[in-house]
Amino acid sequence: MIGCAKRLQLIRLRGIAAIMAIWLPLGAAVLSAQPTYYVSIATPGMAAQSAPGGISGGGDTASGIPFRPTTGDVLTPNSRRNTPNLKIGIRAGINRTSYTNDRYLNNVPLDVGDVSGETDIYTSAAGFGYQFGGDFEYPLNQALSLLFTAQYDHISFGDEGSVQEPCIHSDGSQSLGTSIHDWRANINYLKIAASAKLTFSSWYITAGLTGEHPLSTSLTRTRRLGGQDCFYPESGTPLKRAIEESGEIPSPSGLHYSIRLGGGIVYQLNDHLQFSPELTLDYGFNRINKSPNSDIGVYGISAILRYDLR
Amino acid sequence: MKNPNDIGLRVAMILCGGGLLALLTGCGSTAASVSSPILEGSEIKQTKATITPIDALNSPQDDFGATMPLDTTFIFFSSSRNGTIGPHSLFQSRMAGATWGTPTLAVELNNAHSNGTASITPGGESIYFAGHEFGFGDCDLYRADIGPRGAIAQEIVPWSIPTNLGFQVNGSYWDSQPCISADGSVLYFSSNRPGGFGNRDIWACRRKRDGTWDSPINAGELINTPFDEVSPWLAPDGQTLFFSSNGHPGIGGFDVFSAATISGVTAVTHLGAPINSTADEICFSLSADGRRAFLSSNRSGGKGGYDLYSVFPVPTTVDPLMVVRGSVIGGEGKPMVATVEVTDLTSETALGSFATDPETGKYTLVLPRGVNYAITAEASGYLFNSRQIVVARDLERDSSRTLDFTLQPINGVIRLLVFFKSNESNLQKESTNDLDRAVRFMNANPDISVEIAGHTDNTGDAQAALMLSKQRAQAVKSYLVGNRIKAERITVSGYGSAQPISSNDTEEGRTMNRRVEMRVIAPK
Repeated sequence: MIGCAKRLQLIRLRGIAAIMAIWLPLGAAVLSAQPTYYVSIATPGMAAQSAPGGISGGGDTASGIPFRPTTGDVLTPNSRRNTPNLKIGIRAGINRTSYTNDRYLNNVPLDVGDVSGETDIYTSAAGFGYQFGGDFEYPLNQALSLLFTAQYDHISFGDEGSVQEPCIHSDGSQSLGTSIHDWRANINYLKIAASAKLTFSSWYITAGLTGEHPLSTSLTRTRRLGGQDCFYPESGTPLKRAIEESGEIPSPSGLHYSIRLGGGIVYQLNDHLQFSPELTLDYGFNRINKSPNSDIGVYGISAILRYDLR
Repeated sequence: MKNPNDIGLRVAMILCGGGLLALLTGCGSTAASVSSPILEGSEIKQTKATITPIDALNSPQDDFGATMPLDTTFIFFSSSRNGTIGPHSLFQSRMAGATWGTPTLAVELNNAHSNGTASITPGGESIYFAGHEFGFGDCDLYRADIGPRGAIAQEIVPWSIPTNLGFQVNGSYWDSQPCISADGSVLYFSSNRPGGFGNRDIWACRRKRDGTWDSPINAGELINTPFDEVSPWLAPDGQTLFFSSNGHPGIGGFDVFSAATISGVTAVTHLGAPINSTADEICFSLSADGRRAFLSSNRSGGKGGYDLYSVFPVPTTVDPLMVVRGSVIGGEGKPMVATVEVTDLTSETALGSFATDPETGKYTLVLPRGVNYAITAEASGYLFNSRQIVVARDLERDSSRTLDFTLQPINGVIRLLVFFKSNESNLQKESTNDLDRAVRFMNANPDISVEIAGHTDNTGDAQAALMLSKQRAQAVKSYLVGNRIKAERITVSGYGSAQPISSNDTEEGRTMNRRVEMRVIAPK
């Protein structure tokens, strides 16, 4: 189980590394081109044949430089579509949470109820939730904006697994029976994100940090014994074959941090309104509670309506 | 010579025009991967045109995009010379003797970004140009109207604050190099928006009746190619569209082409040498009278970068034009800020909308021949006033006429521009321009009621004339009521020939007397 969790984590980290490998050079190229922020490929003809000091700084396709800083102008497009105005937005969407834990290192596990005698089954879990909130976008230039987001996240994850637990038979004898544990954790976060938004022709990518504070948490677990004549001994009379338990996540971190990576497509609806479907990954880099390595990654897709305050 | 419409080229252009893919694969240099078609040897048309650099306007930096109103002592152009306040700025110059004066920055039109490639209306009352960074993303199109001169020197045009033409025109892509048609009805520009044939294409917007612009439409595959088509310019007679392209077969770089429809067939023609060269030729333009042509090129032998050149003779035949000049004054006799709208009465199409000079009330229109026009002056707080001008299809030489308007206050009387066949009371379709204005006027002023009064000249039977005048007034009322104006707000009267406003002794006077008037009679 540990190996599986580690592999999952490795796969996620490799995915993030791949995204960063694309994002960082682009971002670096944009930032290093200050004060001319733009990155584009020279087009044939006009720019290529401009005299030095001419249109677009005399773009030179022959140079073969893939990232040529140039500002767009009345003769040459710059392919950027970031408008220079403040924007406010509302967003709503769904998310999927991926959770990993390593109970062989745990001090205070996420579990609730009696787990004595259990083997470790809670190493990973996943589930769907929802999110909604608001955006504020402050453009720095035609490529780059600062994007601030406040959102309410309801994340949910859970799993089920089998555990050997003591059971009492109808004749009073006891043995070990197979119990299925079905559990689910819910966390409601207030999340604040600050990102850099890099706009291309009709799409954008974002990268930044989030800080989220858990407003409330809950844990539910249902234990269900298998077999024809196997009951929980603590259940009294009548004997029960299933027990439902609930509580809160023990000792949750007051502030949870994540790296945010994302991207979206811009559809201009009218003079002021933009619509963007946006994918984001918030990958937590501290624990959600005191259990070691209790990490979560939240993959979200949001529909965003932005209003250009021009 | 490669065919630019070859499917392979299209695929390559689609792939290489794909932004990130171009960045990652390095195929952004389409010049390296796909060659523009090249004319060679006898394929190049040699013309007798003379290309002369305009030394008084050129600088070691880029100078391009000349536009000249009917006042041919004025010229506007774009430049990146010393003294700009952005990468490119708009400059103006006035002819001083036999040469152009020192160009001065058009202060109100420029900001710290790239501004340029202007197109000025024939009378110089409005200018359309491309600006950068302050719109919907990348380059956008803007319009500025002439402002109060005050103490501003004669050689400087005072402009109002430029206004963005709006999302309907601009979108979030690169929209630049506008050309407003002489009659103001169509705006051509170059854009890299999706929906075209690849890279930059020529697009056009038609002005709607309410003064806003309709959605841009692509100029089509005869003009646009998978390569770049830029700097469109429509001849003042509306018959020929000039543009630059590196996709059509040319000599090299951007060349100037013309597109004209003759007998229903649209042909794109390379303007040949020496107008075109192996360097770039862009921003070909004609003066508002169609008698002067300009070009921008970075060919060798210039001062540096793009230079402005004059082209003689003009490489097209421009049909004779009707120039209408006039002024709009208020009832108190003072010049006023008004809008002068041009409508094609036959097709019921709204054409141009022009602002008057705020200090003199003057306006100027250039009207192609063969159209039955209505010219309407409107101003807030005044009754509209329409006149008819028929520019004959066989107009043989440039003509001009004067048309002054005196606008009545809202509680005044106007003559409606409505049309009836002789001795009939059925409204003809040319009447809808003014009748629709009357509907809008009454909707905008819900507290007023009106009297529709019919008048005739003194020919024929007086009793019949009286009846006909009332029937025609009733026809106007029926139209208004049919457009949801309450019938109780409208009274009709027929006066026959009893109230002439001119002599019935002349045909011109009788024409003046045959009329339908709308009188605002009382606030309701």
